[in-house]
Amino acid sequence: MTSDGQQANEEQVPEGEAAGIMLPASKEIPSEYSVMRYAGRNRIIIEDDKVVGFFPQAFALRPDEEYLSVTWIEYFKGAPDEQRVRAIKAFRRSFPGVGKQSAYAIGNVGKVRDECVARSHRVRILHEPEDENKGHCAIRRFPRDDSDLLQVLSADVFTEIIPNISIP
Amino acid sequence: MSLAEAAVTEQKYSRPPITEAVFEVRFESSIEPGLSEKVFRQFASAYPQEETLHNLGVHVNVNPANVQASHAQVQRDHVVYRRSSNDRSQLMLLVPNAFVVSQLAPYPGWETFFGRFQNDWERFKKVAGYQRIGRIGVRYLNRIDIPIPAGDVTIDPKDYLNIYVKTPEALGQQVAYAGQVLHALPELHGNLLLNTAIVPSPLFDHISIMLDLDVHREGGAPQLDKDIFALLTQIRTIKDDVFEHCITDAARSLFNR
Amino acid sequence: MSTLSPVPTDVRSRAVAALAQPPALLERVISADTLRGVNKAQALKTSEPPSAISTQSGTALDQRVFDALANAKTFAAMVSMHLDKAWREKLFNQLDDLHDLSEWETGDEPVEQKSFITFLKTFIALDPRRRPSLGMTHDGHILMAWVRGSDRLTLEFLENDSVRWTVTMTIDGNKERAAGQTVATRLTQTLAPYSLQDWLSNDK
Repeated sequence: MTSDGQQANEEQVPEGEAAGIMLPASKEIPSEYSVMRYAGRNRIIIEDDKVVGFFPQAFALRPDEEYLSVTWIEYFKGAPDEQRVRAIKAFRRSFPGVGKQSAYAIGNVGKVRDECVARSHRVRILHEPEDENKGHCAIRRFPRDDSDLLQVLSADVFTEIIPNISIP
Repeated sequence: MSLAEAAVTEQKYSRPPITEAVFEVRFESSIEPGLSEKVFRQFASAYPQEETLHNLGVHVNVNPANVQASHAQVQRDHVVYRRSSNDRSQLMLLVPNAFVVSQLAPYPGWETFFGRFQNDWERFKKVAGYQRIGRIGVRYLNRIDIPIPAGDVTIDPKDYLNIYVKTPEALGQQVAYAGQVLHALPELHGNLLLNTAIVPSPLFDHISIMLDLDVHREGGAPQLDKDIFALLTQIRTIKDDVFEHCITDAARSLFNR
Repeated sequence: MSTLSPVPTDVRSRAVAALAQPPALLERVISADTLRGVNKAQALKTSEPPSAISTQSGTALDQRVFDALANAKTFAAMVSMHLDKAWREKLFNQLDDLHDLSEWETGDEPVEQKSFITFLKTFIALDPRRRPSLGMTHDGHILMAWVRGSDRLTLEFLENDSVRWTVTMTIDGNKERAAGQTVATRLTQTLAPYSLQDWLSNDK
């Protein structure tokens, strides 16, 4: 259910939403771009009714997950604000359980990669489009048990916050 | 000094150690099951959270002469109905032969708790009608949380309580204890059942001692509301006296921190 | 003698549990007279208080959430004499928010009782003047955080009084980060280099 009460896959995938960026054959997302991570209400830090950050656990893999799911912002065309809105709407189409009180965290791909490599995790940030979310990416080889990495991602890398409720 | 002679002062503690306070009215026979369910529904607005426990009894009949012919029967022994407030601090319990009103910490004071019981009793009777009362009791469970001083220091329960288990010096220090005492209360035509024990502390760096006071009359229980309430008020005074006799000033200082 | 020896908590807990058990195999080894006395003493045994009578849990999510919240709030009631009244009410509201089924993520678990107990015991011991934000992991562990600009301290409460912590802090203009796991009773010492008391205080 999207924040406006629609079933996620009732909304059609807009034609021509892609920015048309060519990726290398490896499908790795270049460092200059950004990715967006969804966090439900329980993994968000709220003070005085305002989202001020994310718990490190917002970036933790669940036991049944093989990779960390994110959405590539610049896959979508338009000015930066428009790209973010398109990315969020694509995510909502692909994920029926988006909570009204949830939020999105945006961080630079290069910084994600650098922090992982600094901790000896040779991650691959790969474009793996899904039917409803063509900007979907997978951070593969992401570690399961690195509290220090999760902390730096939540505090210093994914620093841009967009509350779900702010996007109609 | 007898209980009646003890100075009855209304001690008002900022942090009373009461973990649960209970009024229980026990009947001489079980309430008819359909009626229990009606009573249970009657309390829905006062106690929105509901739970029902079906107690099953497994009865095994063993035939020693022919073990093969032994058989087991599962019987639905009785149903326990429990309701609570949304914050789970106020409980109402209905078992086949008892009506129970309970208050968890934080304890709101006698007037509030007793007032709630009176309202609930009224509501119970409106649906259940008259049920012959066999026992009326008030039970207060207290937990005294004693901070353990830094370093390898022993705690002496008698510094905090006047009821504890004493063992010979030759046995050395105790690790834990539990004790139970039954006293007759002639002025009440009732009894005091007193339990005390070391219990797992819910706090770090504390030792906790439970003091469970159950004051009741069994046999000759009043049947009219005014007599029931008068008895409970009398029990309250006795219960407070007992509590004050059981604790020391060191314990009192913990309740006013 | 009545003094209690300073034994570790788990040793005392096992002793308390053993005292709560009825004597096993007693009937085979004692006389009938003694057994009658034991049975009389057993008959005096006080019944469980209403709060201890538990009902069966269901497996449906809403039933599991209901049971988990009930257990958490009952435990909170047991220590409420050590909690500020306003904070207790806020805590219950936050717990309800964390279990809002309209925000629920598939696969998440409701609050894990042992985690909640570690959380509440730690909270009482720390007694923060500045109230933290609360969250929950997908497997029901309580999370706690304080944020000051780009600095933050987060705690994840595990079972058996264990706490996982992370801290990001600007010290003398340099960003420092650390993460670890410790027993809750050592949290103050473990986080001393990161000025734990400042995080808990309203002053900064």
